[in-house]
Amino acid sequence: MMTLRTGWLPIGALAMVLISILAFLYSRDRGHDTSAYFENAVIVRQLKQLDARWELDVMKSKMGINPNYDALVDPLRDLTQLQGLLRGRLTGERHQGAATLETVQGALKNAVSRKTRLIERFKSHNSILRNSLFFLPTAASDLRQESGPVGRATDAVLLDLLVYGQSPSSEGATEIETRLGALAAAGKSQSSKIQDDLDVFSSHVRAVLREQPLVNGLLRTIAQVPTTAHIDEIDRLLGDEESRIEARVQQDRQYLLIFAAALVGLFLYAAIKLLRSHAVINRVNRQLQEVNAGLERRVQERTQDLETANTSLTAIQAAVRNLLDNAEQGFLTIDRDLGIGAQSSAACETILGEAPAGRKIVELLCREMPSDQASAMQATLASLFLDSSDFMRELKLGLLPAAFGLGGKSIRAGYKMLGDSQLMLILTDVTETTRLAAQVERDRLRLEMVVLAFTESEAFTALVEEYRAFIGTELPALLRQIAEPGRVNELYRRLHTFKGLLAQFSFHRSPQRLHGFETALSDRTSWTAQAARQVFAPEQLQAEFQQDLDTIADILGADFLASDRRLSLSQDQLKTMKQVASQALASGRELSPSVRQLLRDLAALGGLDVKSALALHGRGATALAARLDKEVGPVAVEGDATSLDPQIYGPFLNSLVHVFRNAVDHGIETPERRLSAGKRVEGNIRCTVRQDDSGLKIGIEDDGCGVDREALEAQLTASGMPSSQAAEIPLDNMMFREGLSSRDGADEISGRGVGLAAVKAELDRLGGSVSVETGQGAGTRLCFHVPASPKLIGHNPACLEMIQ
Amino acid sequence: MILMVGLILKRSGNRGFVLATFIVVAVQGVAQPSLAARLDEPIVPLPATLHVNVARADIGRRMFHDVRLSADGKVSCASCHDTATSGADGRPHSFGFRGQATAVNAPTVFNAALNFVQFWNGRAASLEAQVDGVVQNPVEMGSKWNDVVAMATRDAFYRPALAAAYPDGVTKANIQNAIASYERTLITPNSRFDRYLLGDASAITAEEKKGYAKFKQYGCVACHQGVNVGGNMFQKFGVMDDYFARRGNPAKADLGRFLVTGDEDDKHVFKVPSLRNVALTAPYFHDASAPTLEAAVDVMFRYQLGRVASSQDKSEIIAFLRTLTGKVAGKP
Repeated sequence: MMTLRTGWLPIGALAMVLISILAFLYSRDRGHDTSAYFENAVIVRQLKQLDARWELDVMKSKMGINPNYDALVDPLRDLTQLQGLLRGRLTGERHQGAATLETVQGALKNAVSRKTRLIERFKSHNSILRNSLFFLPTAASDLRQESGPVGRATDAVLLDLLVYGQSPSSEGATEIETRLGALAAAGKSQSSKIQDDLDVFSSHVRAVLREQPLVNGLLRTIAQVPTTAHIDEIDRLLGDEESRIEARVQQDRQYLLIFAAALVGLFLYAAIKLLRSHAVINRVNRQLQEVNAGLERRVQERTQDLETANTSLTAIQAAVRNLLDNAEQGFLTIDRDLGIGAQSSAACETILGEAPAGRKIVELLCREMPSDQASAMQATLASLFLDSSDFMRELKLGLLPAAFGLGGKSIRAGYKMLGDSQLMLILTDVTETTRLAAQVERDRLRLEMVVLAFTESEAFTALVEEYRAFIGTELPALLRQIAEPGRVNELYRRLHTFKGLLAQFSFHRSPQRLHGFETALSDRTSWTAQAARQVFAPEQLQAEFQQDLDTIADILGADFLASDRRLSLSQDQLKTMKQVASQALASGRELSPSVRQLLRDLAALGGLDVKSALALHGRGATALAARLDKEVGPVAVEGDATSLDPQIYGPFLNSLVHVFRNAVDHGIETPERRLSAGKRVEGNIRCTVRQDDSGLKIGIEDDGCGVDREALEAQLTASGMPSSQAAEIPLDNMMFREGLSSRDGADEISGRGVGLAAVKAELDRLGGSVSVETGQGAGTRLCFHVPASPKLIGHNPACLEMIQ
Repeated sequence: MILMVGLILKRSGNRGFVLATFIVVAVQGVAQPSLAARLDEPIVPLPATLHVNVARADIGRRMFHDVRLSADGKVSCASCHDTATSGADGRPHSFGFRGQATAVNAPTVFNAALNFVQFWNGRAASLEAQVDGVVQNPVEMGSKWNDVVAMATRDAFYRPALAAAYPDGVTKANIQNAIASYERTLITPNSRFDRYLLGDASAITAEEKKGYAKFKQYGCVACHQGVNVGGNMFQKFGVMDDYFARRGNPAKADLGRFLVTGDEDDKHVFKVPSLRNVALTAPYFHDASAPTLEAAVDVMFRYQLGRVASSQDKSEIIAFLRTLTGKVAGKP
């Protein structure tokens, strides 16, 4: 671009130069007006002509051709006028030799005025001369007439005068004077008239003599006046100048032409250059446009790529976010100034209770911490970022607390250093886990307690008795006597001992309470009975002890504790004893009622209680329900107490577990379904046991969704049975058929189609029957009828023997 | 001439044409008199008019009779050159500014336009120059041109009139030109002799014809010739004899042309006066020494011609001279 602009500069400069030259030449020549010259030339010619005519008229006057002198007067006026005109014109025009012209014009003027004067004098003398010359012949003839000799003398004079007139000379003049003198002398003798005439004649002759040379001289002088020369000079000057100017104009015209051509060429060149640059510009423009279009395309493509990348990134981000948010763990980052980063998982908000972004971590996390701990954590966190060695960092991270309590939740915190400038915190709500852990621990302890109670039952029972006695009598007595010296220590010792013993058996609450009592005791050294009674309330101990014991009762049964001491008996022993008892009863011997009762009790030992068995199944059912995220209330078992031969009825009763499992798995719906069906969320299973002479009736009912008959039919038709035939089969038949299940796939719990079939098998063995009542969405009720038979051992131990 | 005109026309255009025409007319118009019936007569009849600007002549007429041209406001041109009578005042010397006597006899204003110079000694080359001289002459008007111009500017007639007639209004040159324009109207054509010259043979009597013949024969016509019967040359007063010696009382004015040129040969040289209306312009000569035509003729014969003429010749000549009286605007 710069070259283009500078390329124009010389062109422009050259154009300016050419234009200025052209303008100069044109203006110079425009002023030149040839007509002015020609007019001037005309005037000059006129001057010359007038001058010439003037001289001619002078001649004419001399010769007498002009009758008067008017012709000699008028030229002067015209000459003056023309001269003035010329002068005015020449002064008005610009002439190179203006000074010279002025001089010549001045000279001309002088010459003209001189000529005028000369001509004036000529006129004067010429008239005298002519008069005299004209008169002399007359005078001579008059004299001739008057006197002969005088006349002859005058003639002679006349002759001489004529000669003189042709060529005046001084000799001629003197000679004529001599003759005149002679004539005068000769005339003296004549008459006065003749003398007068002679005088007149002589005076005229003398006049001629006088005037003739004057006139001749004047004529010569007039001729010599250089008016012509001056006029010619003016003419020449003007002509020269004109030709010079003409030549210059011609030259200028040539230059004008050349420069104009040059200018045109320059313009052409400039035009070509312009066109070329225009073409270049167009080309470049097009190229630019193409490039631009290409760039735009690329940009668009890139943008699209970016957009897709962005969307995928967003998707990834969303997925990651999803993952994080669904992780149920709080991930957040903190930076150097302990502010929480903008990105954190959703769980953080739940855990911390408010949106964490931008807040200070210590504010949110250490809310429920003692302030000294919080400031310590803050200091540690702050110093963490200042360290650069991984070892120091690891050390400090280890110092940070790992567990926080926030809003009733237990939060576990994990720390990870991300680079040098960020620390990642992983917060996990471990409330549930903790609770469960605590529960597990509790259960473990309970079980431990139970196991210990069972295995060391004698010691356990003894301890229970002892502690009961302590609470009942010893403690109140001690409390009453607390003020006495040494009682405090004794109380302390007893408490401590019981604590240890109870802890040994993994009692849960009591040792804790005893420990609390110990602490309270050690805090004060002197007690009053009243204060002690308040603090160490035996009722409290009793209540807690009972609670602890209840845990065992739940598992091992109430009887376990109820009896003071336990006795173990082997099966053979029992069998023998029962046999003996049965035999004794059957012998028919006379027995006392109490002995008969004893024998009956003995024979009934080891008998199955249906209710207990069902309760056991019920417990299993509730546990199963919990595992399946269904809610089933405690299974109510009511009815008659029974005692059945375990060997006979045991398998059947055991198989009833499947009924319960089915009830929970198939029958009881999920809480959502139950809720949408308008039922209570908690499912209900109820068992009834009736024993009469016809047999044993066991009823198990649930309020679930009922048996899905259609599903069973579908399975039958799928396996090949025609549907019409399948529709004929009664429900109880289908339910208890082997391999048939209302569920397509078996899971861990049920669905194989085997469970109820097993029940049926056992029932058949016993000769029993079952009836099914089911309603879609209402529930199912199964009624088992086990017939009364000699096998049914109520209070008849002898039957037992026969079957076996 | 025609060739020249053609050349000029071809080369130059309008301006040249006008100039050429002017030159042609000027030269032609001047080379020959406007009218000449008898080409060989030394006396030429007066033209009927000199073609002057009427407006300017009118201004000039008023100024000619305006006494405010003089310093004391008593003397106008007409005081000495009375147009009502003979164009002169008939007195040997005129009385100008403050009643001073002029040095010479006032010549007539009539036909003065045809004199080649003005004043007895020819010091004014034109009528304008003569006005110039008279206004400033301490004896004649004794005024200053500034005063005259101021007077004209103040005057209610002169100023607008001059402004109308002239492009540059009230100036000295314009005032002179106005008066001169008026004087150019004061020609007296149609004298009997002019009519005779123009072909009317019966315009003059036989005696007057004889007088004219004698006028020529004796050589009076040598000087008194031309359109104005004189007024176109200088001549010494006392060619054949010394007039001033005889007359005596030499005055400065007697030196004549010598006062203008300083040339010795120009001593006692005067402008040859016009003989038109000579019968009316007594006394004669610059010193008004000839109260009558007869006396003047005698002087002329003696000192200029050096001839002796009989009284009869002289009377015939005088009779001829009387025929030279022309008419001004119809009246003589």
